[in-house]
Amino acid sequence: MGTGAPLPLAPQEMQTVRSEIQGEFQALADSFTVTSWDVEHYNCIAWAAQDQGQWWWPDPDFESFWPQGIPRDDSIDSFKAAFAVLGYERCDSIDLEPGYEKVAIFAIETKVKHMARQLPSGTWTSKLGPWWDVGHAGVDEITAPHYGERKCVLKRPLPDPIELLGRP
Amino acid sequence: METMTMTCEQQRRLPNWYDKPRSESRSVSKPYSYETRKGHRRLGQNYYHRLQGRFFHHAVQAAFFRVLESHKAMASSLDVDAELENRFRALVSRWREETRSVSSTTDRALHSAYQDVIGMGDRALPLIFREMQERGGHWFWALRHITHENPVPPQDAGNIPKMREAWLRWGREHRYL
Repeated sequence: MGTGAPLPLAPQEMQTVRSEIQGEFQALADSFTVTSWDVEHYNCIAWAAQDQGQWWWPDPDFESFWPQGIPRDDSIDSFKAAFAVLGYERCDSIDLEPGYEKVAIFAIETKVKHMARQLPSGTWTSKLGPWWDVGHAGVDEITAPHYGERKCVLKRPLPDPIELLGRP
Repeated sequence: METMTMTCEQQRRLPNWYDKPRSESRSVSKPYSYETRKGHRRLGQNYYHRLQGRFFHHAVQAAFFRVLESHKAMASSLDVDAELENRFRALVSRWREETRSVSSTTDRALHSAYQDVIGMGDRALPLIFREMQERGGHWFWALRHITHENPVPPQDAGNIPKMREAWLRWGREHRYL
């Protein structure tokens, strides 16, 4: 999951799904891929945080998961603070930087509506609400009237592969 | 007062009703023969059976009308239920369609179709539970606002399968499922 590999759907079914997605996200280039099933257990924020077990949102009624101690409002600052807990910090470029992974925050004015995550290949992945996960070449292809536009990019250092494997 | 004017002899001759046995006292006032008693009993029985028959007739008639009324009421409530369910299905379909790519819990719950479902109140509960059981969906906000309950433990907030299970258990306990 999250590798950007296309989902093994029957061609006709895939065509239907693709045309439905493109109907809603008209900036998506034809090269976009559908990479996982439409499950409602997690959303774009959880997908950006690489957590497929929970629905993330700072709702004031505590219906969704949100890191403890972070303000439960949909401002960009609240999302920056939540991702700071995961080690992300502000950055200026959307380009691939070796040793870093990046997430982009989309908002309408100051209200966050969507997040996308950069893959090691430099392409981007987005979970569309409770709908499908898609891989898209450009981060701004996912811009839509109800998602607003990209407002900021965050990055964090990738874990050292040697640390992950364990030092001899 | 009259006894005061009677002589002792006259008073002695007066029948003492209290001291006499019942059979004797009755025979004194009026003989009640076996034939008369039999006739009375027959009359009584006839009257009783006739009354019973009439009562039975009325009872059957009343029961029939009661059943008729309840069927009429049931038919009209079924019409209302069918109308309610159709409206619910239309709202759910619209809500799913229009929020399928929305991540914001708040935006999804404040969608007009979702709010209309909440506005249906208690009557929507069996439909919401059935929908959640069969097709899933984030119905937690609606259920919390309709029932004023929240069976989801705080540590499970955001864990959709656990939240759904907690609500379905609550629905079963309260006989909505």
